[in-house]
Parts: sequence; structure tokens; C-alpha cells
Amino acid sequence: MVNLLRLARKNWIGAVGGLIVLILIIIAIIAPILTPYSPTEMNVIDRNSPPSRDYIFGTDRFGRDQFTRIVYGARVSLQVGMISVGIGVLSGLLLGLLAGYYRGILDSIIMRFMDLLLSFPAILLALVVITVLGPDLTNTMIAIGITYIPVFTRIARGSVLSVREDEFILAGRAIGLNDWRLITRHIMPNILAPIIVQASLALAGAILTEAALSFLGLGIQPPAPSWGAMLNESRRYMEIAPWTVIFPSLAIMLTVISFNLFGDGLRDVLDPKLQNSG
Amino acid sequence: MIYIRTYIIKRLLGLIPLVLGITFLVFIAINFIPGDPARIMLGVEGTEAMAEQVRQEMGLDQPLLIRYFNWLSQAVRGDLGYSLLTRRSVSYELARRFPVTFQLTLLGVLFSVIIALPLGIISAINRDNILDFFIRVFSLIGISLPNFAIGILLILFFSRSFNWTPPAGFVNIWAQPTRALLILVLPVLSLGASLAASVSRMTRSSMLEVLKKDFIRTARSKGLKERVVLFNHALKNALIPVLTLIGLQIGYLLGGTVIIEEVFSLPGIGRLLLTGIHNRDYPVVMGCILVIAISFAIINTMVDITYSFIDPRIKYD
Repeated sequence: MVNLLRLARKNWIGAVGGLIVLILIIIAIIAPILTPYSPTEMNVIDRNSPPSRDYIFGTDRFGRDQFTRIVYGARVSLQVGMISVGIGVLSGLLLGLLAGYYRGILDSIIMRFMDLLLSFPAILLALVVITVLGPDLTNTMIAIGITYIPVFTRIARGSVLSVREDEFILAGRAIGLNDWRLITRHIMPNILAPIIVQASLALAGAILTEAALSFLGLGIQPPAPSWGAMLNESRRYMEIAPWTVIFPSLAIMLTVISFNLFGDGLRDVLDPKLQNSG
Repeated sequence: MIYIRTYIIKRLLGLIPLVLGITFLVFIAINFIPGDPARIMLGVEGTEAMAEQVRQEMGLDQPLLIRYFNWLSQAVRGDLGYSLLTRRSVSYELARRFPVTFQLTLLGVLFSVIIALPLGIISAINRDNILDFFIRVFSLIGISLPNFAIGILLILFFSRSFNWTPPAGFVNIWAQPTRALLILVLPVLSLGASLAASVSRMTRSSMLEVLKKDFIRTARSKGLKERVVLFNHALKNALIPVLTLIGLQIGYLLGGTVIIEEVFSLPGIGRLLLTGIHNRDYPVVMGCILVIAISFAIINTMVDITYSFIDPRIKYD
């Protein structure tokens, strides 16, 4: 595993992104220590209060503390991001390894199915899955995870195709290693770099998709705090309480920027061949 | 030219299994949605006997595969059924709403490209100076803020600073261009911002890559003007990955219209889809998915075909 120091030496912007990600994770974990309020606690007398010493990010139309909701919202965003990308990576890795290693009919079936999933805008795919499963936290993670499966399957398969022709795989076969051992012990470790890079970038996308689904009322359900849902609830009152849309927007932006910077940095360090954007 | 024609026909034929596959998947998926369409159609006052009759009339009592083929055979004739709630023809609703989504997407792409290409080029030419820095920061913000947040913040900014909000409703751009543009300006900005950001990033890195190549040094050493080197030699070659990105991103833009139409209350296909999803109105959902899947596939085919005009070295087979 690449540590942050190695990243910092090679790419300080990526390291800054990684550091912010780390801080966000810590904030999400210690949320109850950071704020005296509960994310669902209503204080009707103080509704739509502007930022002040008592409420540093102000309150919403129910008098709920915005800072508390944003801090707890970080838990939701990071949880959804990590678990959904995890679903995408594990399933994609498995399918990509099978398709790339065994080739033939299995490869054709898996890849045509992946092409099918890719031939449709990801957010709409997630919408359809959510509609079928019903909107809640777990199903949001599953829906977003499914949209990432074809991405990781393609990357894994592509890498397996080049690695399986290497001599060490031939050597492995020659000494009688079975397929399972060859795949898990020898091929998989050699294809992980591009997958780790893509996963760190996919986290940003997953957080954006969760925000979008929750904004449409099809993700995390109120009163649970989610940045997307907060924006949706507040937009009708933004004229009188603009802070209720500004702070959740900034929270999403900061998180996504830091994951993007971290991902770009990792790409430069782990897989310079993939570098394609400034 | 013959090659291109054969290629286009091949690609268009290739769309058929893709569209069949995606509609079949969605059809199966929708079948698993809890709730009985007959009951939804009848509302709270319908009896079980009435529901049974509706199920028979709509063919809901038949096996899934038969129902899919029935839907498909009607769909190819342009009949996408009727909305369970409004009883309006789905084809009619889609035809009425398609221009909204189409104009929004098209203007979104145009806006992104018009903004992003010059920014990417300027950024590449001024590599690592202050201008480059600012363009890159703006690009980063553009890809990191979700389009609905950009939309909301834009509405907030314009209403606070200029006391102006976009007019409600939708008019055809050809009939009332000024009003249509006023209605669409903020939605287009919100929708196109992230595409503009990624296109400018890609243009910058692609230009930097091309500017390192030997043929650029040759062009400069034979005394060509810098403008000619940049635009006639470098840009043309740098555009291929940019075009690929635009093609890929138009799909996201199509998905993004669902959210933008919701934010700005635009009566497009995305909003129709959302209403259909919220009401479990499956003929509407299927119709919207069909139109979006076909549009997405056609856009990707068009992008592939455009490659040859930019880079004649790309052969079709």
C-alpha cells in the first residue's frame, strides 16, 4: 500500500487531497464529539437562523443545526462512497479476472453484459435499480455499486489479458499451480495498481451520485442527514436562508475535490501510463 | 466515403441488440417493483374484480417474456402504451417533451465546447503560470460541484444580485428564441459546467502531449507561424481524446438532464421519467428509458463517425 509520505514526495497536491480525505474520515468518525446537537434535533424557535456563535453554519427551516447535519452527512457520504465502490471493485475484479483468464464464451458473455450496462447513463441505471429495490441507505449503495461493476470489470480484464501472457504465469503453470492459485496469488497482485487508482477516483463519482439520488428523493431518506437531501429540502427556502444551500454545496465540493486530487496523485505515483488529464 | 457508409450502417445495426438488451433488462427490473399496476391505475376505489379485468386487458396476467414481446412489437410501431395515471399516450408525451431535453443537452454540449476548448488551449500555452493555475482551479471546481448544486447556487446568485429568476415554463427555441434562451441559460450553464471542466482539462493535457511531438518541432523549425502550429498542427491532433471524452460525457449529460429539469422545473423527458418512477407508472418509465437508450447509442455512434473527419488515419472496418 502506498503511504501518504511517498505520495507527498512525488505529488504534493495529491498528498494534500489525501490529507483532506483523512481529516474528513476523522471528522465523520468523531462527529458526536464535534457537536453538542443531534442531526435530527429540531429547535423551532431558532429556525432559519443565520450562522452565529451557537450555530456556526446556521440552522434550517426546522431549526436543525446545519454544522451537525453536515458533519453527520460526511458519515453518510463516505460510507456510501466506500461501500458502493467496494461493491464495484470486488464484483468487477472477480468478473474481470474470470473473463480475462478463461477467455472464450465466458469472456464474451461477461463483456457483452458489461457493454450493455455501460450503454446507459450511470445515474439512470442507479435510478432504475433504486426504483426496484426501494430508496434507503443500503439500496443506494447497491445501486451505485452496480453502476461501477462494468468499469472495474473492463479495467481488470484488460490488465489480466496482458499479465496472463507473462513468463512468470507460464512458469507457474509449468510447476503445476492450479488456476485459482495462479489467479489469486500471481495475477491479481499484478493488476491492482490501475484498480486502486480508478477506485480512488470512483469514490468522488460515487459521492456525487449519492448526493444526486438523495437530492431527487431516491437516496437517503429524511430526516437522516445527507448533503444531497439537505440541498433538496432547503432549495425552496434559499432566498431567506441561503446558508442552507451554500454549506452543503461546499461540503460536497470539498470532499469531491479532495478525492479527485488524491486519485490524480495516486495515478501519477502508481500508474503514470494512465495519466490523461491535467 | 463508401467505407464510412458501410461503417454507419454496421454501427446502426449494432444498436439494435444494445437497445433490445437494455429495454429487456429494464422491463425485467420494473417487473420486480412492488405494487400492482392495475391497482395503481384504478386508484383506491377499484375492486378486485375490476383489477382482474384491467390485468387481462393490459395483458398483465401473461408471462413476462410474452409481455416484453408485446410491448416491443407495439413499440416498433410507435405505440408505447398509455400512462397508468394520466391515461395519456406515452409516445405523445415523449414527443412533446423530447425537444426540451434535446435542446438542453445540445446547448449544454455547445456551451461546454465553446468555453472549454479555448480555456484548455490557453491553459496549455501558458503552462504553469498564473492563468493556467486559475483555469485549472476553476476546472477542478467545475468537476467537483454537482450540477444541481451549481443550478441552485446560480439561481441564488442571480436572484440576490440582479433580482432575476429564469422565466417559468418552456418555449420552442425556433418560435421564441429570446425567451427560450432566457429560460435555458441557467439550466445550460449548470448542465454544461462539469463537461466544460473536464473538456478543458483534457484539452490542456492533450495539447501538452502533442506539443512535445517531433512534428511540432518540425513545423516550428520550418518557420511556420505559432498560430498555424497551434491550430492547424497541434489542435487537430489533440482533439481525438477530447472528442472521445465529449462522447462519453454526453451520456452523463443526458443523465444530468433528469436532475437539471427537476431543479428548473423544465418539462423534459428526465422529469417525465422521475414522475414515472415516483408513481410506479411503468409504461412511462419504459418509454423514457427507450428514448434515452436510443439517443445515447446514436450519440456514441455519431462521435465515432466524427473521428474520421478529424483524423483521416482512422480506418473503419
